[in-house]
Amino acid sequence: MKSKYLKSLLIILFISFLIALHIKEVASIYTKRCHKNNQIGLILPNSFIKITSFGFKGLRSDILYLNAVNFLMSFDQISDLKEKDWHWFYRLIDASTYLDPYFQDPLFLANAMIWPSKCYNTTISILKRGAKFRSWDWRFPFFVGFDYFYFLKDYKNGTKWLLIASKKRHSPSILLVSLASALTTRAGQLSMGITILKNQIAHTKNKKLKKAYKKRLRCLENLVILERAIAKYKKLFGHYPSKISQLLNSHILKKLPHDPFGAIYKITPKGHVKRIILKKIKNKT
Amino acid sequence: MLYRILSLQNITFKEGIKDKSILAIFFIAILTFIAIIIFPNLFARDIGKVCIDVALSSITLLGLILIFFTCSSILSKDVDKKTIYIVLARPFSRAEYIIGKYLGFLSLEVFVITIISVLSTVGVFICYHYNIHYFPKHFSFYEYLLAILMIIEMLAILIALLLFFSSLTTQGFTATILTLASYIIGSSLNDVLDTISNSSDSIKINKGIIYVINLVKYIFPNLSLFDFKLEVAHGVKISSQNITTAFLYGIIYILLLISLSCLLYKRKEFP
Amino acid sequence: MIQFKKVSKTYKYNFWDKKITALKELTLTIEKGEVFGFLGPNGAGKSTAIKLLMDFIRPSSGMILIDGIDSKEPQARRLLGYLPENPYFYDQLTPKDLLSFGAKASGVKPKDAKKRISYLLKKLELEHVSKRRLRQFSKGMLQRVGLALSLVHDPQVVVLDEPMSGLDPLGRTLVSKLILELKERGKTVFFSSHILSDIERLCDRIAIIHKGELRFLGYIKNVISKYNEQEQDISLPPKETTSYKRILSPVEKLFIEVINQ
Ligand SMILES: Nc1ncnc2c1ncn2[C@@H]1O[C@H](COP(=O)(O)OP(=O)(O)OP(=O)(O)O)[C@@H](O)[C@H]1O
Ligand SMILES: [Mg+2]
Repeated sequence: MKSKYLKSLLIILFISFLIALHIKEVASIYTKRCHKNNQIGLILPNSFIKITSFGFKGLRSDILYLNAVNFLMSFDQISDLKEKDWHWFYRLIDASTYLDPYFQDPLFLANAMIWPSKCYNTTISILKRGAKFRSWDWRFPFFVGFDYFYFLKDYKNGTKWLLIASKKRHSPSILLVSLASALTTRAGQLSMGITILKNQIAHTKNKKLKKAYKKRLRCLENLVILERAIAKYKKLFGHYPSKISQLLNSHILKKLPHDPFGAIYKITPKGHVKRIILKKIKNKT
Repeated sequence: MLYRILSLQNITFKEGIKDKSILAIFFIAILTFIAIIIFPNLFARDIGKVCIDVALSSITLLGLILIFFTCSSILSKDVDKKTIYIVLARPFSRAEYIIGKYLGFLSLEVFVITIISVLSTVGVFICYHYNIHYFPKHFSFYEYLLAILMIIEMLAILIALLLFFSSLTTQGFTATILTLASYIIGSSLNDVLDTISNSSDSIKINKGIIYVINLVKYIFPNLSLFDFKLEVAHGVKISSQNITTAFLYGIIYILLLISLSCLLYKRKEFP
Repeated sequence: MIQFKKVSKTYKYNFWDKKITALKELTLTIEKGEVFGFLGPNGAGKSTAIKLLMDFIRPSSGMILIDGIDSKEPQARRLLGYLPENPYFYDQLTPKDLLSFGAKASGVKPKDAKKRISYLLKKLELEHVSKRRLRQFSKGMLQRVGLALSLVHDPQVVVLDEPMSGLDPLGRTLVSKLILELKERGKTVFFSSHILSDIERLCDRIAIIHKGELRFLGYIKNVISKYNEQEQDISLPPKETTSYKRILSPVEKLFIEVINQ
């Protein structure tokens, strides 16, 4: 009689051990969310989360994604996130996409957050996972290619992934191939970034995220306006302006655009103006 | 003989369907019906995916609740409180008892799952109606139903396991715990194997462990074979080979378990 | 009708638990058409013998025949109706559900079953609760349902483990009447009981077992005549004991004598 109880006790212990590990992982998400200053990196390894999902991977993935969104929402502004917060955020997104690599929402969110987070390689590897599984979908290899071009200036890989994207069904292939060349130019990159952001805004229901995207969009649009003006200036005077105010003085611009992040626009004397303006602003965010 | 088996199936079904836990299950089913409609709206794009996730997961979960509460309590009562006497006092052979009991639980399971499925399918329909563009392009209700059938088959294996373990133990509770443990192992088995085969290049895992896990693979039912939730949720085509493999595997496993439990019950005593 | 042939039973739960010998080489034959009473103190092995007969447990040695069929064959139980010691049924069923299961499982035709069920419900005064769930039943009510269940297929042999326990006086006379009726119809009744007055009234033959051994086997007629004669022989004992001894019935005397051997 006693041995029976012993046996069931052992099994219960074993199961509660599993559950305890599981709870710890879930709970750590919440403690993280409450105490933003905690050390990062307590989420259990992906494979462990997967193993302990017991056939409810899809649902777990949904919840991890929601946790990631909630984590973002717990900051007043996207720009408030520190490096370790981004680390945490990508950890959640990574786990979510590991559990359900087809799931679009975390992939899109990761791609959207590549601007403020500057976690380029992490984002790209997450997006590659999506591209691998959603083999019918041209958008994710396209995002990968774009990110290679735009952020890492890795034109070789960028072209490779854009080509992959162009071969998918329903992809605007001609557009994508010509894009590869367009993206090597500064103006092409900017307008592409704007297109992606606009798409993002159109498909986002979450108000706070939408606001953040819009801010970023305004920032990019300002850059486009400035760069067009600078190009015009070059045409008129044969050289680049050295100060932003010259654009006002020469009546090319009626009003200087105001940066949503409060950055100051500057132009380098060499003519590679655009990048420096961008960098200034990115440092700010 | 068939007559006897059906009569046992009949009272098992009746006993189960009037149990209080069924009420709880239907109550939760109504809650999930609401969840199916509301929860997906928290998401930006893959609303269809989340909706189907919730629907299929809740069907699985409620099926599991049915097995681990209703079925296992009926079976425990049979063994612990000796309600089995009223069956064995009739000209039942032990094999007929097992088969009748199995069919009773199975019909209960199918009945309850059918009702829940109808409910959640209505929920999915409503969600589909309002978010057609957010559903995967190749989503088909046919595959959705196929996934539900596979869930039912997985649950059928668990019922067979419950009966099998009850033939090994003298306490109903132990059988329940063992079944729960094998569900946990069975549903995470594939992922464990995946992890091991993936990490074998970077981290060296003891060969002994791999051996043990391969052994476990054959002993425990590989329940993740029956999990088509992700495929359906994303409108990925389910390969007919996977379906047939899972189906045959399940049938063979059930037959094996049932015949083993028949053999074991033949020698079992109910003092 | 029922033959126990050198039946022994030892219970063993685990390796390290002690073996309990509940029955030692019980040899017993119950004839067709007789009412057989099975007596013994608590823990004597009565229920064990009955469970062996029903094939719920298996003898360690020896065998049991029912109408010439080994009790291990499911066929043998076609003839039997059984009332467990502590009747406990599926909670959620109604007596009707339960009885119709019993009838179906024993191969009674649906038409006959219906008649039989309503007859038994009436007979055991369960009609007014026939549609209530069994979980709301009292011990005595459950006992009645159990009796009805054991009789629903009109079996040749009725095996009752303490049929009177938990019944009110009216219920007890009801059961007595039922047993006598069965006897009139030529059925065999094999029952265990602690209520000796009932045994005396109903049985043709009794067996007394103690610590798993058969201690007495004989006709009740002989017992009664023997002990009634004895009482005349005994010279008047002291006052206190007389008043006690006077109310002892012959079977009680026999019982005490056998146990104290
Ligand atoms: N399940 C069991 N496991 C181990 N021993 C048992 C078991 N059931 C009964 N026994 C033992 O077998 C012996 C006979 O028990 P049994 O139940 O046959 O007695 P009984 O004559 O029916 O008594 P009562 O009048 O109390 O019903 C007892 O010593 C008891 O301890
Ligand atoms: Mg007893």
